[in-house]
Amino acid sequence: MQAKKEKMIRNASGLEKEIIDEFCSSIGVKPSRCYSRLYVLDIQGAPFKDVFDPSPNVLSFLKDHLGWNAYSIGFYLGILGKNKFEPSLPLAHKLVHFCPEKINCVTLNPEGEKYFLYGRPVFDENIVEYNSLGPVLVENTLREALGWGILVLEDNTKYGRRLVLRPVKDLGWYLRKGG
Amino acid sequence: MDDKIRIVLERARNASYTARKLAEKYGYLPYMIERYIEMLGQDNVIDLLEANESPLPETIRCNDYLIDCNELETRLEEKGFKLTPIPQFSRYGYRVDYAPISIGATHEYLQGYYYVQGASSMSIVHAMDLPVPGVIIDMAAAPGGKSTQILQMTRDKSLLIAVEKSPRRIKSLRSNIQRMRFSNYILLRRDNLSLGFSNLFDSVLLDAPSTGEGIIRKDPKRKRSRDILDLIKIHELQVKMLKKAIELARPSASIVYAACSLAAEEGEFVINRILEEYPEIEIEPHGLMASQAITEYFGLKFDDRIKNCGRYWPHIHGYEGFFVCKLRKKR
Repeated sequence: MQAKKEKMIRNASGLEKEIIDEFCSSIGVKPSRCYSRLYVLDIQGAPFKDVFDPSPNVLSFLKDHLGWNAYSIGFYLGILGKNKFEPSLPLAHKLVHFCPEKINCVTLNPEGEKYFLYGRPVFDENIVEYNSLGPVLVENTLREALGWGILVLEDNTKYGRRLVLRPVKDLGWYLRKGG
Repeated sequence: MDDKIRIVLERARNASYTARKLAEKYGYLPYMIERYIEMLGQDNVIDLLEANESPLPETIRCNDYLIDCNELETRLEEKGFKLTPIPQFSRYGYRVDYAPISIGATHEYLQGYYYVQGASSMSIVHAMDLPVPGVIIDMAAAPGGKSTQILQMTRDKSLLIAVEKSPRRIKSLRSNIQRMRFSNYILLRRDNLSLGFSNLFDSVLLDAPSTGEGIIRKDPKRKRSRDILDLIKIHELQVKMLKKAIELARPSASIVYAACSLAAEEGEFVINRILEEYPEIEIEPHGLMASQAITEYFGLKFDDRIKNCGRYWPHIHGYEGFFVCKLRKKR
């Protein structure tokens, strides 16, 4: 979900910055690699906000000509809920080149890529490599970002203990919901 | 309302026998055919009407900001697509000759490596001045074909202000800009006539809302969906929007006006009215392979400078019909 109406853009508060920094740390990346500037767009009547990392020229145009009102601006970082940050697909593209050494990632084979882009879970037979459980950036073998997921070890009566990647946000969103 | 357009459309309303017969055969409103005969002559009209009966070829624009276009071509061909470059429209353009699955549903599409866009449509941005750095406005931006092309061609280094009034359509615009991974933009959900800027932008694009007579091949309902009164309303709106575009442009900046239409009322007529009112506006060659715009219509001679504007015809150029004109604000 992103803003439906033009709203006032503002600096992120200390608490909002903390939540986003915590997310960046949870995937093993320094906040300075996630963003340069943090700006927030409140969504009327919704318990979440859009977060952006706009360039200086976007900011100066907003300030000089638009009174900080816009519908969407610059680099889209994700959605901020009450105590939770959901990263965007552009952020996955931005960070994918840190995989796998500097960030928590999982790499899928072409079959796994198909499942993931349909928003379905991916099991260990289609996982090529990973470096951590928990929130991960998902990529394919060409090192292209596919989105975000949660990698867990699950006990299954039929298969025993196995790796499962649960999608959080995948590129298939552009077809399913992107308009 | 402008008297000239009223007189001209009265003449079109009294469609000839030939126009009425062709309208009946091909399913159009008779006044539309009368206008096409006036613009093209009777023989060429049949070519146009026949071209409009065949489906519009699918075309894509490679996003070379993210991928080398040869690599994209190879990747899609490995998946069974057959592509032909269409450099006469855009150096980034390809016609999709065969698609094993929908061209809008590949992993490469989701990666933002291309945009599904009409050939004539993608050529329009090549007529624009694209200063880097600069501030550029796309006044009717959704769903984002031309906006993403502007960002692509400026390598995301010039600031794009993209304006769209419709809540539904701006969602597609936002999604397409993000899918193609651009970030130097501001989206405004506003009526472009309400924009309060003047003399501000280095380059202006107005791809005006139109009757869509240029995409009858894609949407045959448009053969009968717009009557003469609709056409007059759209013409008046286009004139208002182009006046706003002139206000937005800084002195010496260019304004590219385009309309996805075959109608002279949405092309030459609009520019003619602007030239009558604005001595500071000049017309420049657009540099595209479009045919020369028409210079005379139902006995009305347009300003001679309009011959520098262009038209894409489905039966000549093979894709959507479009009108394009490059204006410059001298002071």
